[in-house]
Parts: sequence; C-alpha cells; structure tokens
Amino acid sequence: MLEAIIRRLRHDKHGVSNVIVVMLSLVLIVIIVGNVVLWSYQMNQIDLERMQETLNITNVTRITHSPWFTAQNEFSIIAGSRLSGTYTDTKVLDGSYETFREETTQIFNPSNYVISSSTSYVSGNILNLNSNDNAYMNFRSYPNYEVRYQESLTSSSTTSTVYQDKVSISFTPQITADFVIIATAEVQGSSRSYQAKAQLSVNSTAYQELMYRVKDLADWYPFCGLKRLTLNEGTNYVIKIEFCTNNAAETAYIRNARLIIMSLQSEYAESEELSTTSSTSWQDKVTLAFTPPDDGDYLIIATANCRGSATNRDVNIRLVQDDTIVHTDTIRRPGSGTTANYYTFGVIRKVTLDAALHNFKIQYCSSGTPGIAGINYAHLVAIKLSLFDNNHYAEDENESSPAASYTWYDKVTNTYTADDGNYLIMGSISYESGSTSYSVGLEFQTESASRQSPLIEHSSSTTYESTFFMTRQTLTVGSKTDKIRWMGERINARVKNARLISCKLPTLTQTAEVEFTGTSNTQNWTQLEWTIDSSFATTDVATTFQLYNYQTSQYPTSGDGYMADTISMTDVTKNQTITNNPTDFRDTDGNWKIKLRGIKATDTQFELKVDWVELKATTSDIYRLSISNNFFIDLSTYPLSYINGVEILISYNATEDAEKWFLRAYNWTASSFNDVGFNNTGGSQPILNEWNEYAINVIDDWTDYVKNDGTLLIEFLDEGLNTTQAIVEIDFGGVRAIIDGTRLDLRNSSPLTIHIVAIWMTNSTSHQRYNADLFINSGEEVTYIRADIILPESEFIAKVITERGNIAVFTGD
Amino acid sequence: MAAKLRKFLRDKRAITPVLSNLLLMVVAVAAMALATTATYVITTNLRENMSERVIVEDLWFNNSTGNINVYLRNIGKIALQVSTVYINHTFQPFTSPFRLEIGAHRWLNISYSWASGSLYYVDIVTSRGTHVGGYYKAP
Repeated sequence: MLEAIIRRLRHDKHGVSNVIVVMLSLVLIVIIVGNVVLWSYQMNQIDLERMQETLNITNVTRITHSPWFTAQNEFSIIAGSRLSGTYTDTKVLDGSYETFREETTQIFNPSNYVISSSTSYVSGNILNLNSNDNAYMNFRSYPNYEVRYQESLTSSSTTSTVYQDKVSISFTPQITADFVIIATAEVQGSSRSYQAKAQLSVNSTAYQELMYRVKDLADWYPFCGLKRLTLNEGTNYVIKIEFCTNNAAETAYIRNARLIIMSLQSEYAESEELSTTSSTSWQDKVTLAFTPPDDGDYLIIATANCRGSATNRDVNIRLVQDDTIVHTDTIRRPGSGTTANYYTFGVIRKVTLDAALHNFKIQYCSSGTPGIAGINYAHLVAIKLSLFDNNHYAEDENESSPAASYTWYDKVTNTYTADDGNYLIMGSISYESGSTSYSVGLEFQTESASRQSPLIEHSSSTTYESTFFMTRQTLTVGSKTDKIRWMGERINARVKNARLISCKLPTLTQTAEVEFTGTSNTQNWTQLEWTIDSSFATTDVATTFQLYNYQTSQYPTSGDGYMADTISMTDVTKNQTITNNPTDFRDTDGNWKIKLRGIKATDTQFELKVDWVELKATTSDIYRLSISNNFFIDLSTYPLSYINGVEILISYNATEDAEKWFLRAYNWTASSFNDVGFNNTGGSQPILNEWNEYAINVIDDWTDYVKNDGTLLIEFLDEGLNTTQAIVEIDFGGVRAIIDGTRLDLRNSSPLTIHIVAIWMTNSTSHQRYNADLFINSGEEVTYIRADIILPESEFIAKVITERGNIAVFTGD
Repeated sequence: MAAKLRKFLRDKRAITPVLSNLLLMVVAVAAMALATTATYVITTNLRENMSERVIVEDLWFNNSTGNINVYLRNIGKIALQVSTVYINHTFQPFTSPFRLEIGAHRWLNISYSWASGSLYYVDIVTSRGTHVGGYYKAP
C-alpha cells in the first residue's frame, strides 16, 4: 500500500505544489477562524452576558450610623469577677447576657512610663503591660560610658605632604555624649630645612596641629592632642593621629602614637583660632570656669600649640587656677622658620577643688619687644577623679639638674597597688635642654617598660617646654610603679613640674531603667500585691524592682516594695504581697510608681522586655467592678476621614441601685481612660430589675479614642460606693461610628455574578462618581454602605455601574 | 552508485521538468504568502473592530461651564480613541486627543452651548467607527 502511494507520488509531478497550496490554505483558514470566528464568538459571549445582567437599586437612603461593632474577645477584668456567660452573649440585644460581680480586689496597670537616663524606648505600648501575654514593651539599655583606645608604637615614615594615618579609631556612639579625646606621639624629621607635622583630627577636621622644624635629626619631639566633642548616637566618627612633611624632600617620622576617646563627664573650654600678642603681659587665651557640685579632686589637662615671630624672642605659656599658677611658664623660642612652626604645650595636674566657682586659664605672652607670640588649638578639660574607680597620683614640682651628662635619673615615681582592669596612665613634665647643641631626654615608664621617650634639642638655652604622656595599660592586681625619667646630654639640662597619675577606668556596664506610673483609688487597702513579668534579650542581668514608698519618699532598697533577681532571656514573674501599711505605696491621689532596673557588665547594648505590670489592691469594705474590652470599627468601610464621632452603648442590669455606672474610653493620646468629650459624663443610675441602656455620644475629641486601626478600648465601671456586693448582667455592649453616608440596597436578579465598579450620585449641580469594588452573587440582595458618599439634600439620581457596562438607576428625593 | 550517477548525467530530459516544478513551487509560495498576509491584516482589523466596546456612564449638561460632559468607560478588549463627536449630527469640538485604555474611564468635555429643555442626539464615534450615544434631554 505504502509502496503504491510512494510510486504514485513519484509519477505525479504536480504533487509538491499541491501540498504546499493545501498547507497554506489551511494556515489561511486558521487565521480567519482564530481572528474572526473565535474572537467574534468571545465578544458575542460578552455581549450576551451583558444583556443577561440585571441589577436593580431597590433603595438609596442616608445613614447616620454604622452598624454596632461588638466585642471580639473576652472582657478584661480590672476589678471584680466573672460569674457566667461569655462575651458572645453581649453581641446582640437578645436577653442572653454575661454576668459579673463586684469584688473587694481591684487591679491597676500602668498608665504611663518614664525612661530613665539614656534608656531608649524601642517598641510596644503601655497597654501591653496589662496582662502576661507575651506582648511586650521593649527598652534599650545605655552604657555607663564608652571608651575606645588605639596605639601604634613602631616608627612610621612618609615623604608625603598630605596627612597620612598613624592611628585611627572608627567609632559609632551608642548614645549621644561628650567625648574627651587625648592623643600623644613623637615626631622626627630628616631635614632641618623642613617641618615634620602631626595632627589630631575627627572626621578630617583638625583639632590640634604640630608643625616642627627639626633642630637635631636625632630628636623625637612630643605631640600632645586634646579635644572634647559631642558625638551623636548612631553616627560614625573617625578619630585619627596623622602625620606628614611639608616638603617631599624630607621624610617625616612618627612613633609611640596613642589615642583614647572616652565619654566620662567633664568640664571643658577651648579656643582654637590663632591668637597673637606683642604684649609682654599675660593674655588669657582660654578660660574654664565651673563650680563643682561638691568638694573633690579633678584632673586638669591642657593643650595648645604656640609659635613665635623671631628667633630672639620667646613665646610664654602658663596655666593658672584662680589667678594662682598651676603650671609655671613654658618658654619656647622658635627655630628657623619662625611663624611657620607650631610647638607643643601639654600639661596635666591633679587639683583639689571645693564647691565654689573656679577659673582655669591658659595664658600667653611675648618675652620681649618686638616679638609676637601666637597660640592656637587651646583646650582645657577638668575630669572629676571620682568618676574613675580609683586613682593614684605623684608629683615633683622642683627643678632638677643632672650630676652627670648622659645619665638617666628618676624625676617622679608613682607606686601603688593596682586592681585588675584597664588604667589610663598619664604624666607630664617641663624640660629644658639648656643648650642649642645638645638635647634633653625624657622617658615615660609604666611597670619598667618605656612607653614614650622624647629627645629634644632646643633653639635657645632658655627654652623650657612642657609635654604630657598617655597610655592605657591593662593591669593585674599587685604593686605597680610608673616613672618619668630624664637625662641631659649636657649637665645644664633641667626638668621640673613632673606629675604622674594612674586612673582605673570604670568597668563598662549597660543599664536599662524605666519607671512605670499609674493611678489607683484612695480606699482603705488591706493588702497590696504587685507583680512584674519581664525578661531581657541577654543573659544574667542583675535586676531590681522597686515600688515607691510615699511615706518614706523613696524607693525601698529592701523589704516591702523591693525585689531583686538575676534575669535572663526567659520571662520571670516577680510578685510580692504587702500587708503592712500597703497604702504607703500610693500618694493621696492614689498615684503609684514602680521602677525596674537591669544592669549588666558588658559594652553590648541589650533590650529589656516588660510583659506585665500589675498592682492588685484589696479593700476592706468597698466592692468594685471594672471591666474593659476592645471594639474595632471597620475602617475599610468607615474610613476615619468620614467618621464624625462614635457612639457607645451598653445594656445592663444591676442588683444594686445605690451607685452609678460609668463608661470611659481609652484616650490613645493621653494614654489613660477618660470621658473628655462625652455628651454624658454623669454616669448611669440603674433601675433595679430591668435592662438599663446607657448610651454615650462622642463628637468632640473622638479621634483621641480611636486608634489608627479602628480600635476603641472601652471601660465599664462602678462609682465605687457599694459596701454590698452587686451583680451586673450585660446583655449588649458595642460601639458604632457616627457618619453622614449613603446606604444602597441592591438586588442582582440575573444568573450571573455582578461586579460593581462605580457609583454615581448626581443632582442638578453635581455629577459625582465614586469608585466601588463590590461583587453581588446571582439572586443576592445586598446593602452597600458608603461613608464617603453624602446623599444630596434635593432630588438626586443614583447610578450603579457594573464591570460589564450595565447601569442601574435610582431616583430619590 | 556510480552507474546511477552516470545515468543521471546522461539523461538530458530531466532538466526541464525540474525547472518547471521549481518555478511552480515559487509561484505558489509567493501567491500564498501574499494571500496569508492580506488575510492576517484584514482579519486583525476585523477583530479589533469587534473588540471595541464603550459605554456612557454619565452625561452632564454642565450649568457651570455651559458645556456637555460625557463620562466614558472602555469596557472592550482594546484601547480606543474618540475621533469625532456629533451633536444633532453636527460635528462638535471636544477635548482631543481622547484615548481610553482597556478599563479606563474619564470625562469627555464637549464644547457645546446647550439650551435647557432641548433634546440632543449625542453621537460619539471612535477611530474604528464604533458609535455610542443617544438622545439626551437637557434639564
């Protein structure tokens, strides 16, 4: 059979073109059918469906209220107890009810919170504390202080005329604070014709700058930097010691560079711009005036950079306290380059101050006429030494001369017993080479190790300079010795005003502290039970809970009103019952407060999570009932912008008529229950044995009571007068929105589901279209409420447009 | 195999039928390609015409402007463009160009001084020739 077909095809010379014609004809048919016939069928289908669609508007009316929104969860009981029924019985006015009973215990939760010091709020709201439900208020801890230290001790060199990094600290503070920055280093240059430069900078802004033309190529000239800056939380800062040369033909060197920043509280003054004087009388450059809160020891640190105008005149600088010299004259005669050179002035000294006004000044003048003394980057800081865990100080103010050249002598020694921990160790000294050809050597030692060792040859035998040293050392328990040693290459070298201090840096801790406040009543309490449920986002936090005692006007540190525990990441419920004078823990207005504090030795911030804070007071004679619940307005149908107020209704039956009953709403702005703006604040006087309907309208300030998600928190409570126990039945409780909207009654009589896409409301002056998105099943009648459509006062036409393009019309007046 | 090749080369009669067949195929393909393209274009236009649906949601004799505003909605399966507006069979200027994507809707403003109580036949014509409109009595 197949062979016959193939044979026939071989003989049929027209077969191929016939096949092609047939195939292409088929393609044509497919195109025609696809493009015309099928599409025509589809459009006919659409037209048919459109014709089948039958939508009627049966009525259009104005509505002034939304439906009632009732309770979705069980009532919270602040005082009293539940006897029977559930919240579902309060959804409809139908005679089924939920029953509550007054009790002599009453529960109070916080209505506000105050975060202490630099604790920061993270999330949650005060209502999260009403129950132990894992809904938290979170707070972030803050550090007692922050400190960063970096050092680069080896010698570095550069021929660059652009500042190069020697030591850098990149730092983002956890909290905004004033940071004291201290820097030390030694610089050297390879040529007497150019300058070696060093500077202290923060985010590329210079705050101390040394420009030193080398006198002796073997010298290591000291650099001292000091600055106090407010560094902002969450902002990154880069603090640097940088160095360079002023000419690429010279190599600049730097070594023993140390940089520390710390946010210990301090007093501070500065004057950074260049000041000059030709006067030989002392001029004030910067004044630090402050009154200590109490008597105490302070560490005074001062820096400046100075310059002279002639190689035969000196620049004099000194530090005075209350017009008494604290640090005697520093005398600097400029070398070659004169005004291009800026030299170091660095001083520390421990002073004891009483609680009176004190003035510290950096003063300067010229040694003679004509001569212009210049000074810039003058900084003065006073740190109270009690801020450190401990400190040890030694000084020797006398001038010393060497018995022999090239021989090292101890100038001042500080011996003390250290604890385990980090110490900030500083020293300062005045020094004179006494020769223009020979140098004076200094050495700052801790535990017999050399930390800094400048070598300076002066341009004048009368030059007497001052510098300070700094290092941070981690010490272990035991006796320690710090020293400043010195040596003269000639016996006319001199040193004086030598001081050493070793300060133990405080242990880094993080603290989260928050105070919760609330209101209660002024009834006679016979017992008070207070409860806190909390945890932390870290382990082992030493936590104290304190209930304020208004009788002693303080938070207790033991006994009633005090609890302590070590709490980790799991919720811990702390509870204490006070039977002895429980009313001491509220004021005359019924206010109370609880403080919660967690402390941990760490530099990492953590979060405090508070789940539940409650005071439960038991009264001897007054029976109370107070219940609350959330009611949710459907904002998708009744947007806040179209709500004009809210209405609250409760239907109840009480077994006592001696006291009134009240409705209050939670004011989300004021964070408390109140009835401001209610049309009736006088309460409802019940009539026995019948359902009492108590309705409230809130037209003014209603927005304070409705949260952004439509939540209203309503409280129903008694007047607080009953000495006999009342039982209250609640048949209905609900809230509804007061609106000025439109209700459309629609009926879909067609066999198809209808999609409403638009509503028109027209009258003689306005044709207004409103977008809609409503599906109506076949045969269904629906009520469509639009809070945003205001029905015209006069005759109107309402039109409803379907997605298929049909229009239903209603004429009203 | 070699014998078959020799026979093919010796067969002088084969060239003409091959050429004629090839020519016939080329003519057939070209003719059908033209026919296919023409069919595609024509049927696509037909399909687009069939797909066009537009409704008048509202017509407003606007007192404040003195014009006629027509709210149109494209309920068809293709974007449309209003090309002409007739009132009482007379062309009237309108906000042009007026294009409606699928499902889009907006006002078409017709500059026309209407008189209260008069009857108007409003005819809106799309670029594909679809008409929408009807009789409207001015309030």
